[in-house]
Amino acid sequence: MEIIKLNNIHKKYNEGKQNEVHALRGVDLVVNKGDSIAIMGVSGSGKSTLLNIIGCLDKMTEGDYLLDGANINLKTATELAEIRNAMFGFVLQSYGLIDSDKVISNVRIPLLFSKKYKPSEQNDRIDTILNKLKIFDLKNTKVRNLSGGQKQRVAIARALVNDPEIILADEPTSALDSVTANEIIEVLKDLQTKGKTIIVVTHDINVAKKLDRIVTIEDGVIYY
Amino acid sequence: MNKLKILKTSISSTALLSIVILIAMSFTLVVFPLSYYQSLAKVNFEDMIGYDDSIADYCAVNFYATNNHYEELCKTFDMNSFAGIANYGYVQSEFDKDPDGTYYQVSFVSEKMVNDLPPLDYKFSKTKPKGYREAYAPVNLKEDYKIGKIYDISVYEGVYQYKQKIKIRGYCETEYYDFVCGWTYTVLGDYKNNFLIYDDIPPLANIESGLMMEDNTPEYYNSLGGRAFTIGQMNTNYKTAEVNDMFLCWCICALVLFVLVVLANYYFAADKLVKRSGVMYIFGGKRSTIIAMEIVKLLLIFALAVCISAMTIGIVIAEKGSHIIVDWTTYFICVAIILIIYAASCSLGFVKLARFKPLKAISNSNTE
Ligand SMILES: Nc1ncnc2c1ncn2[C@@H]1O[C@H](COP(=O)(O)OP(=O)(O)OP(=O)(O)O)[C@@H](O)[C@H]1O
Ligand SMILES: [Mg+2]
Repeated sequence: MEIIKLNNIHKKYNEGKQNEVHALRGVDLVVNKGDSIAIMGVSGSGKSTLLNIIGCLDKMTEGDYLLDGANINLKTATELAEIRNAMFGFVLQSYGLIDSDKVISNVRIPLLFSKKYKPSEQNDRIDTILNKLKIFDLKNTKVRNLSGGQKQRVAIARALVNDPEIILADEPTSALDSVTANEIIEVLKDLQTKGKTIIVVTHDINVAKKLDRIVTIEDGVIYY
Repeated sequence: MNKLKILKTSISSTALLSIVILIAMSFTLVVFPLSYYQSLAKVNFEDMIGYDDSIADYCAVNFYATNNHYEELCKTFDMNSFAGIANYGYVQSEFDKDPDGTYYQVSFVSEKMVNDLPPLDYKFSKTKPKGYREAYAPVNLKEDYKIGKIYDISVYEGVYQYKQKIKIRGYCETEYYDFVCGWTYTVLGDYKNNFLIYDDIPPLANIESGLMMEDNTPEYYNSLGGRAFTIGQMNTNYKTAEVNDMFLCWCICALVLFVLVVLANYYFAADKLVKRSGVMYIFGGKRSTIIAMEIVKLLLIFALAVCISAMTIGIVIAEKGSHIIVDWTTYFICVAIILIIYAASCSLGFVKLARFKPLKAISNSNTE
């Protein structure tokens, strides 16, 4: 079952200005529910741009995007915010954690907007997810005191805490050594067994090989 | 519900900043109205003591002459329009029991003053009686000069001598006209140690200043060597001259401090807020809601500071000491001013926040 369907997507940054960048040039992509996909490409090829559009963080300049059958172009800002909260779990390039806060405060953020978990259930939910990622002991530690691998686990915990359908990870292993990177990939792959859809942007062919399918992007165009 | 949670997160994540701003603002909201009232607000409330609109267009003149004798001044000025007081010699009362010897000055009230100015408490007859002159005696000499009785008074000898019979109409207990426009501006003065006599001014009597009741400009008297202001000008100057420098200083200090605290704090906190907002956006927050909640937070801090300061000011006003040092009108004017300054101080940081690009915000700065 198609969960993501991109049709002729274009993205221009700074459109009409002197510094216009045509980052995506007609991307077509179909992702089925439960797939795991690696997006590969050199730096500047448009990987993050594509991921941001899939995750409704950024608007496309042109093209159609059907998410679970619904046309994203027709959604209001409020609806998009709800979609981001309910559908997607982001693992951001270079963690994107708030370093001065505790692990638990970082992980709690998606639940602030959650319609899936009532306030009374939220603490249990956080504990469950921290346990699953083996960082329960770090619950009250400030993020700035964690190692890279631990930070990435926190970032994944935050992405999973609201039980999203699709996990979007942008270079989740680029800052990690290969052993830790493997652990992280195992964590992500494990999610696939629970019916989640995984999309990982990576430079690392060893990481990409662990996923079901690899798509390559070059200068804003996808090659299969 | 979302909104409340965003607000809560925003407050808790900037708790220290919020407290610092709250304290600075409460402090300013107390200090500013107090000093504002003392230095600026009060100024517009009161006229000079004794000010009267009916004489506003006449000039008070200080006669800065080398020789201030009446006869000399008559050569330059039209002294028929002079409403004022001329001083002559001092008498030491023969009845005086004060060992240090208090001297009492003999002073003459000009005709213009008696005829054309409100008499205040000094009710001289407009026409001078035959055989004696009417006078008010020094307060301390009540025992010796009885109302209604006639006494001989004499100062100096020979050609300078002034000798007269005076009938006491009362005592110089209240203020009478004293027009001065030198370092200070006054309309009324104190004559407790004077004999105020309504008589022709002797040629050698000394005149320092007075009101010229004719239609001339201050420039005219200045050109004659005097120094003149209209009573209206004096009143305006008096009101602005009343500014209390010390409190004005406090006023400015409080505001400058306030601006610095808020500006610096908020500006530097904005980076952190930008990142947090970016993260919230990505995980389901709506941009406009995040920004709106930030405004609500800033307003909440302001409202809380107003409550705290209003209570303090309330206590100050309720404390009915010797004099009230602030009023509610002033307080609310100051609240309005501070709200504007607060908004201006926050704006720099706030613009930074309001323009946050969610993706940039989180990818650029991994460390805070
Ligand atoms: N916000 C932006 N404004 C302008 N240009 C941008 C912006 N973001 C990306 N670009 C440009 O779009 C192109 C694609 O960028 P993108 O970040 O998607 O590449 P990437 O494949 O993720 O690269 P990397 O591997 O370095 O992360 C690049 O040329 C980049 O300079
Ligand atoms: Mg990228």
